[in-house]
Amino acid sequence: MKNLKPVLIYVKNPTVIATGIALLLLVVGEFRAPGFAKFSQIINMLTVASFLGIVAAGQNLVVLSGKGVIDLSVGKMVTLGAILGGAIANGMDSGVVLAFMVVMIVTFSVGILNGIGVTLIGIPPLIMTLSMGIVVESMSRFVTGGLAVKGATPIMSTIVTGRFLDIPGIIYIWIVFTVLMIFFQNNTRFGMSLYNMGNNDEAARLSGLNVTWLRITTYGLSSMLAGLAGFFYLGYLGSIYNISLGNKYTLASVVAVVVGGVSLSGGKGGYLGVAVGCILLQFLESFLTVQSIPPWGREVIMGVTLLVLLTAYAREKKLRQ
Amino acid sequence: MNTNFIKLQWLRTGWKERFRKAPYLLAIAIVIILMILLGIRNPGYLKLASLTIKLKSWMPLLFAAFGQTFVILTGGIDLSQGSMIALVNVIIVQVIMLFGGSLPGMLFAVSVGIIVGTLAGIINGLILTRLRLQPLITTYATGIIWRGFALSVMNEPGGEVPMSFYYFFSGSFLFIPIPVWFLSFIVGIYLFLLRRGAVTQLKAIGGYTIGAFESGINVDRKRVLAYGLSGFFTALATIAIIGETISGSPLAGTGYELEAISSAAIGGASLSGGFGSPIGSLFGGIITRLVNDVIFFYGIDVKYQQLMQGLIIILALSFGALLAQSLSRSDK
Repeated sequence: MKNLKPVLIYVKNPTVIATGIALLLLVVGEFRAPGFAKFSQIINMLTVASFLGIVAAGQNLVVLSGKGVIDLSVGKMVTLGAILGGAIANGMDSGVVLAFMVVMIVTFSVGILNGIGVTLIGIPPLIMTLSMGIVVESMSRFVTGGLAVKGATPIMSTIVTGRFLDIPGIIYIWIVFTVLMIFFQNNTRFGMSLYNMGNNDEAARLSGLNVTWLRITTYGLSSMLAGLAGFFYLGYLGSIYNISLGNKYTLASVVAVVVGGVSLSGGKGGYLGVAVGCILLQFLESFLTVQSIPPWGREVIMGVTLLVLLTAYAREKKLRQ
Repeated sequence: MNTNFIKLQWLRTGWKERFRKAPYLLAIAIVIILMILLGIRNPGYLKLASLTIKLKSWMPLLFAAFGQTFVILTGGIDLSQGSMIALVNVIIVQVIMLFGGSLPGMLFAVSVGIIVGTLAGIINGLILTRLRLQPLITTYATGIIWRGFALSVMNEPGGEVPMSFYYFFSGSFLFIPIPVWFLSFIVGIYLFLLRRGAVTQLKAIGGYTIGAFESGINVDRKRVLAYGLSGFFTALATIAIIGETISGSPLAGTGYELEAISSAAIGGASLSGGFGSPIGSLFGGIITRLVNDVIFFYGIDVKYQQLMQGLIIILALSFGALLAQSLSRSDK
């Protein structure tokens, strides 16, 4: 029995559970609807998941850094990234670099404002970022001025959807990004500080970390990653169809983070789990779409599945210990 | 000498102490300022008749924010509120149509709606406490489920409710408008709970859960109570919505939860729990709505409307947060 324990710990790891369920979905999906687990189909699902993956990376960093710390402005930031990118590049390849720089700088600055509101002024993160979301949405409106913005430039589309070995570019980008994120979280001073802050804010402060500055920067990074995802999303979509195109990412990123094993009370969970969580969510959504059940049934199953996943590993401690 | 000292102390910290006892004073002050701004621009706005009509259209948000506050006091959050509105909305409308719009049918439908809302809230609470899950993500998941059920009852906006439903909410009883009756009713429930000590217990749970547990409060049961109350008031909010729209929609209530939460925050409730008052949330809700009217009556370009709304909310919150910070600093 003794040597069973490490195996059990391994099995209870959220990343392993999420991977298991994702594979299970593929197998069951293939049985129910042949072709579901075809290579090209999986690649399609991964492509869609990659944008959520980049948004959720920022959410991961923010959630990691403390109890109740969350960024609910990311969805609107995705929209801003896409619209700003499209407006500045104006359909010409020569403007892409400038557009990219502007998107990064603007979204980073807005994130810094979020961080300042949360740390220096002391507004609850949930409300601060939601209100900032309203402001960001109106910024997107300003940029468009009510008119259609030029869509992706050819090079943007090529980078995101252009295929190499039958795999679109965004998936390579996501893989590199994942490696960088894991390195960032585990091997850099900044990333490790986030875990310290999340576990015990006060202890982190007393041991000499500049908690305020770190949190402000984390919010900046989160917004910037959302903006980055928006920029890529534009390349994927080709054109901007409405001002709410990024809204779904707000709560989806939180769900992906939790499904990936990151604790909402902070200090626990890495990006590998989050990436798997994003893939799992996308598989689940596609799986429910190909089943011949009415839309309301899909919603109910989605909700119940989330609850089951949460019960599987996101439970809190008992009060009586 | 001694009494003098105490008096001076009272003069110096009086307003802070008062703010601590009634966190909604700031919200009331903002409401008065906004009202004055509106009165200057458009004196007709402050007439009783116009305010009554306004109050009627504010009611859904006020009820939702009121209910949300009980949950926020315990340190939780109810993101399923918007979907709950949709679910109760379609059920009430379907039942009313089933009975052909007769009066007993409507009464029955309304009570079914209230029961469904309360039950949905209680289920939220039970899932949270029995499975020990986090409120934010759990109520998001149950919200998806409620929306699914709402779609199963009615898959597209439609249905018809007799106009008498609308007239009822615009009318008055004993010379007092119906919305005022409703508000007195919910405030009455709050005062009842306050007197029973339930509100204090909810705050204790939000402020320091383990301490509340150790002093003998049945934490789980009280949390379920908070979510049940949230569901109950959400059902009332839905009835007020039907009084406005006279139809059913599975998409009703989208975004209400977030407006309710920010109203509660503006009304002085702490989102980490333990501090705040449902009465304050009522004023917070009024502020949320008044801001729109101020923007409208001051003729600000529609383009800037949303921006102003966001900025004003952030400013109001910053002010409250800075005030709270200075209060806690004076404690030390």
